[in-house]
Amino acid sequence: MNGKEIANREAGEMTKAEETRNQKNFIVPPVDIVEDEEGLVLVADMPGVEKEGISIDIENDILTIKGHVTEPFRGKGETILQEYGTRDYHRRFQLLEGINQERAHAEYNDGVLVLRLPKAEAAKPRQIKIESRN
Amino acid sequence: MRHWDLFSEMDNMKREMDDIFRRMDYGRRSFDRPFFPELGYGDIPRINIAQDAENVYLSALLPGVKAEDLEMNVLKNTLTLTGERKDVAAEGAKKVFHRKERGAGKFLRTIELPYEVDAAEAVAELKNGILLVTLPKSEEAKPKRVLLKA
Repeated sequence: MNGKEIANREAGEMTKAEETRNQKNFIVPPVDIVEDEEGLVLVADMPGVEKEGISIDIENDILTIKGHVTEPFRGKGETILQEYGTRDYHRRFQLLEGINQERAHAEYNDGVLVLRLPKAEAAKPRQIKIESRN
Repeated sequence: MRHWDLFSEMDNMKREMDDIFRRMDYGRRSFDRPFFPELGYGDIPRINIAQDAENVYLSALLPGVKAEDLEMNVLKNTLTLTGERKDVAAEGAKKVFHRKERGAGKFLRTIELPYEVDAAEAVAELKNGILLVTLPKSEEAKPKRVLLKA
């Protein structure tokens, strides 16, 4: 199967459907999406989140990743330099066919979320042997 | 009177320009790309600094950096962070990237703190990809109340 066919596409229209949820109130975490024979691996930078503060939902082939930021230093002392903001994370992707959604699993370590989305059996690459009789 | 020094003037100018560019970014996208946005984008890691009468609080965004890959040095009021972020996504063979927004590699950042700090008493913790450092101000840097005679 061609890698492109199974690629995640960001759900552009989906953000429109939820206009109350202004994008400006959220940080869109940067992600790497890698495909190998087993499936897709999504890696997202989400520093400042507790494991319990992350939610990953798949509904109607829309993958939603949310993270609630709890930075212990927030509100301590008076700020003299601010280069990053502490807002919650939010990002959605459109999952295309061929993903076994039941077998998806995730891990969160050192501020990085790793989500594995295994391919459904039918979508795995299969080599067909060609035999000849002479 | 201090004489005019071309090199320090150029240094100052560069710093001011950097500041301007950083501020331009500030409202637009700087918050959206927390780590290793792209080469030459600015200082990595991104930091916040706060202070009260006793301490200076510094926090830095370092997702995916392990404690053993990070080094922090404090000399007087200069703090240096060096380290490396490994590219977990690229490990292994036979992979196709559909998206590559996260960077990886080595970084070095020197931060000039607004106060002299007592490095021996500093406490640092790397938690959930954020480095949190509490640096007690050195005695000389603490505000002192001068008693007035009546």
